[in-house]
Amino acid sequence: MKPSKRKARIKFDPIVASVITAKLANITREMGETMLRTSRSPIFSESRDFVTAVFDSRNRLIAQSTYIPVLLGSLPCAMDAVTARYRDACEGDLFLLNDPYVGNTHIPDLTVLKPVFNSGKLTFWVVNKGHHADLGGAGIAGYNPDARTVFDEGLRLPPTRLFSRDKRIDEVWNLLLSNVRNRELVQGDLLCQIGATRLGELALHQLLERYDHREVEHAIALELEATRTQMEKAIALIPDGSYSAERPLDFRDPSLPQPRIRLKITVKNKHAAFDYFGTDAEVPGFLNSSYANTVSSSWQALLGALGKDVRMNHGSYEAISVAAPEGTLVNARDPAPTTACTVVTCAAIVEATWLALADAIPDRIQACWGKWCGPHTEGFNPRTRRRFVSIHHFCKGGGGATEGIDGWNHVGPISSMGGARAPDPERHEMTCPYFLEAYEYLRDSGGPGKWRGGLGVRYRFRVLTDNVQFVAAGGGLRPETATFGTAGGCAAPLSILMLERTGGASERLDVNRRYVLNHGDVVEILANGGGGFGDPLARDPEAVLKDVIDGIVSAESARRDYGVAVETTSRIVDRAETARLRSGAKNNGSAEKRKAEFNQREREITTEEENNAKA
Amino acid sequence: MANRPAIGAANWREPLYLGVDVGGTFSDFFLVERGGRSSTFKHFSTPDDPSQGVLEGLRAMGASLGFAEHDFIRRIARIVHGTTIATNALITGRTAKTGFLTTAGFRDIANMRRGLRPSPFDGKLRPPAPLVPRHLIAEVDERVDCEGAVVRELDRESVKAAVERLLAEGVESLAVSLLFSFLNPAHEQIVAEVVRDAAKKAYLSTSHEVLPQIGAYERHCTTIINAKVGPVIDGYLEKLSTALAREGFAGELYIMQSNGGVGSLASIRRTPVNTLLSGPAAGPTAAGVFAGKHPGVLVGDMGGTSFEVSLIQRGVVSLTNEREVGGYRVATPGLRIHSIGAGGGSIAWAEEGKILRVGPASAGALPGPACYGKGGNKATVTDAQLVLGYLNPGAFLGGRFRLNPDLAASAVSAVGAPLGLSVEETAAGIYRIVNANMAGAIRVVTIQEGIDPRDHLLVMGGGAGPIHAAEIAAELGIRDVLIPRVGAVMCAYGMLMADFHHHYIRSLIRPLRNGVEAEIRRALDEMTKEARNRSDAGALSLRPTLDVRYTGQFHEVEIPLADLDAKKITAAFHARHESLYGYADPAGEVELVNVRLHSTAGTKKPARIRIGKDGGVKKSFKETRKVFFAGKFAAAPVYDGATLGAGARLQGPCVVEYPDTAVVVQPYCRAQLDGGGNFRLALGL
Repeated sequence: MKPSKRKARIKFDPIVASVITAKLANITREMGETMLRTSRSPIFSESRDFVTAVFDSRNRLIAQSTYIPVLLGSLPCAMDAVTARYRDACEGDLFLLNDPYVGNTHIPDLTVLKPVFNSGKLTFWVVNKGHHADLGGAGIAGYNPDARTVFDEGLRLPPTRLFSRDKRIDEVWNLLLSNVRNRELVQGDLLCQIGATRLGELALHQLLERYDHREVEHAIALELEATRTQMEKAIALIPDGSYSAERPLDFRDPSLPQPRIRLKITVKNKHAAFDYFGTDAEVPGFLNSSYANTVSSSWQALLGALGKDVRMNHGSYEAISVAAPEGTLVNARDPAPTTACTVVTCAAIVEATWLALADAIPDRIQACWGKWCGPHTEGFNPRTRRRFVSIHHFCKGGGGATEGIDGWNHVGPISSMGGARAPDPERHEMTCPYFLEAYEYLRDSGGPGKWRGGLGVRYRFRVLTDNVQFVAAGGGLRPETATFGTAGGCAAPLSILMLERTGGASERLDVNRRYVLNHGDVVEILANGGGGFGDPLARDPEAVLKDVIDGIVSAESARRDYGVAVETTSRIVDRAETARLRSGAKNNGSAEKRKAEFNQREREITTEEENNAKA
Repeated sequence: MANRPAIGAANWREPLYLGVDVGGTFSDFFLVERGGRSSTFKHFSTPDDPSQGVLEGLRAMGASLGFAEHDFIRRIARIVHGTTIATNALITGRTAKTGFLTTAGFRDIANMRRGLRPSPFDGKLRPPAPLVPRHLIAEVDERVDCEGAVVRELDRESVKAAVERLLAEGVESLAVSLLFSFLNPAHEQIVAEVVRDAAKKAYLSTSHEVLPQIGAYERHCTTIINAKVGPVIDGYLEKLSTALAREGFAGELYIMQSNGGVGSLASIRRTPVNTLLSGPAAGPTAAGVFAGKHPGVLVGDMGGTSFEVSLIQRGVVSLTNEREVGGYRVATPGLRIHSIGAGGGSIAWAEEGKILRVGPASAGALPGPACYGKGGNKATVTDAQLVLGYLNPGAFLGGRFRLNPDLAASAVSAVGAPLGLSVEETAAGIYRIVNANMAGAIRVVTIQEGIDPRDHLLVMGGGAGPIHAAEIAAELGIRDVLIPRVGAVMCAYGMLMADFHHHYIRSLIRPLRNGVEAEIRRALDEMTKEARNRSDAGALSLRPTLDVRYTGQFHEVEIPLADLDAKKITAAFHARHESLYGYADPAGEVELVNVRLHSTAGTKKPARIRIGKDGGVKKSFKETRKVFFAGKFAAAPVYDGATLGAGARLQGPCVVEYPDTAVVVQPYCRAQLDGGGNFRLALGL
């Protein structure tokens, strides 16, 4: 079995297919490693906000490494847009795209696409996309809460050729870099994206030297078919039928109601159709979703419930369809702004999907994850004499609980599904003008349930310079947008953002609003945990005791929410008192009623604090 | 279970050296004497108390070699020991009850996993158990800033209270890691004093000693793991050395470290976290001996469940700080050993009835491959080897354990039938796929690092390795393969050939410009002093390196420090970055992050193994049997490896059998034995 290039008759075998598909997957990982290790902005290297993929010449997604799940379904739209515009792609070309109205997600996500040729014939594309610190405009790390059009969000790049036959087109390069504030970061990250595509191209050339192109095509066909079957099997876990839910978004304008996403999922013949008919119209602000983001988020939502082993390629992508009416929140029209869609709108889509399916496949659905409300900041650091851009992935929410498993602590946002890495506090202080005062789990932040929601965090930092731009693009601050529990589990408490001005009073901050921070200001964020699963009164009292000993559930909450009496000094459960508490609580009403009471109490606490803050 | 016939105790010339590699199922022993005569031995491990298995094995080995009772152990001058005890303790959770002291406001960092969940779409994935339960974490009121300045003084009284609280919880070990202690360890030193005053017996681990480098999560975790395994290793080494002494052992006992070097007991007790790769880390050392001055060497070790691969470039084994053990982060330098689930026990299966896959699940030792006849009915790689004729059912483990070819064939057939493949096609497929998987693992350490495997020599060991070596090499375009005579116990052998290795690090975060040289020099001087004070070190060889990056990057590239000249260092960095990642940024500002010093001190080594000249391969001819080569079965010669001598040449296709493995010489290979009895395969690709 000496390997040799088979010339004449090809005997396709499943073994070669396995070898070839493993190599294609490996190539996307190699590209990812390069981006992770060499980028300049913490958004790539610390948070891992990017995706890498290989497409074939028919624009089919063949292999993909998704570091941030929200991007996983967005590349096919980008591929279609670039190949529609450029039918003359040559060897050595490289293209850019960030226009949300021509196949991209949002302005800060820059897609880099490079065609790969085999003996003069276009055979593959290597593609990667990552969130840049700045692509022009008035955004903070790309997020501009005041944007009223896409033009306020940054430079708009339709499919654009950056390299022609291995030669860089300096006009494009200079044009792009002249429009950004953080030139050093953007240039560094663009270089690393290009470097990654070069490595991808090299590896594909080696593959094509080794195997006959017919073997490669055959392997791809097999892989896509196997994946399609995988995905269909996953979808078949949902009984045929239609399932509906709606979720609101945190919209800061008090004169307007919170806009809502309305979703109906129809499962039939192993196919899942997402229909967003009835979703509210697009809003003046950056919460609107591009079509690519809506498709991607829908796919992600379904995979998040069912797709443990499903590969993310054209085969699984084909098994869902998305209908999103134009001019709504989920398919905005040019020139509506869209930057927050990969976080806020994505979360609402995932939540609506899980809520819709919660009764159909209760044991597979996770309760709502803690809502992202972390700061995006930008400014100049006098200590390093450099500009900095930071997404504070410290204040992660907790994961939602599911049957048999407590939620993961400190894991959000849901758009990343645990793929976004928290920065290192020491590296963070070395690059940004902040002094961290606290970064720890937040007690009682997980939604009570038989299985408790994961913990959110308390994150507190002091600002060491003036004129820092701040926006928390996110949600979960309002009772309507709070997390939810499933199967009788409770929601997590609402998140709270506070700003303590030097020598001044504390001020409650809102999400999706711009603030300017100055020297001495202190920001404190109490990020909520995930929702609970199942009736908290059914939680094992020993598990509650353990949480109390570890200081993540208070003795009061144990008593009030779980009906468990804990003797804190001797560290034992008072069995008799617990039985009394639990039967009393049960006599007091159904699990649903108790859950409503818990959620109502949380709202009242919030309102009370709100009043205090106003006073 | 001696693999060689007894030659009589009198014939062993002192000093004797012994390598002992304790694995999950077997403990491997490799004995060598001054003149180069050697013997291998395998004995069942005793996981509940591994020292017992070591002692039993030693006695049994001595007896099998004709030594009088107690005479064998007494005559051994040095034992080098690889142990999985720390790894097992960590994976099974049987570690010391450990308390953690850290900066107030930041107590959960070590348990926060940096917010990652390894599998985004697995909604049923259970979170890992906390590295330290939260109630065993105590906060210390203090703070050092990012320039190393104290911004909040440490209150000694509050530390006392914290330590007392943890001791009252019953902790037997304490870890201390504070923010920015790598820039200013003063506070950690005070906490350490308080701990020593309050609890003389408790094990203590501080981050500025274990891993003084940036990255709170990584530093915390490593320090905590060091504290958790410390008492376990301490207890084990105490027990082992006492037992050995009781048997009359008066020689030296060294322990294999994750970095491929050995350490004295005193060193190991200070940083037991460095034994987490204790066994496999000896593989590259062994390979290095055989590979000589070859500029690029790949080392593969294929056992029952896993395949380990590593890379040696210009004599240096690459190190990594990015390992995880049992899901927990360990950031001290260890050999870059990449491991995948591919071994003799790997199970073959048909996904969706369409694609044949192999592994990562393994049949393990029990029930084991179908052909073991221990009740396993799943087709494994070993079953495929048997169907293909590579293994001789009667010669497995020197003939002590008979394999059942019928059971192998029916298991393999059951996997292939839904794919429309015959037994032979399926077996050939399993063989090819597992080879491709192993080649993929080699890609990770080569191509993914910007290194072309084709320029490398592949050294292949492990019980199953020699059966697969040529095909893995062919898959990657490698033309040169070496199969050591001691291949099946390669790690036990490597332990005897290892030197003392230790690593030192200083953070020095600043632009790489003229003037920085003096600071680098100062850091190196300091670390050199530390290295010279180390108890086990004799004459030192020191290798300085620098961690460098473009300002603003978050990851560094480690480059050797040749000339202490900022310009030259910068140029070397650009070149390395280009080769690793496909681009350089010559106009970008370059920043120094860490200065490292790698120290090596030589150990006394036994002579190389030598075998006699070959008297003609015909004498070693055993039989002709049907073996699968080049896509079909054909009659192929089989040789007895034990009787082949130096200089013997063989042309593929053929099989060479040893008591513990078989070398499969593919039709496109020429094989030649060197003076050490090692196979060198030349691939005619």
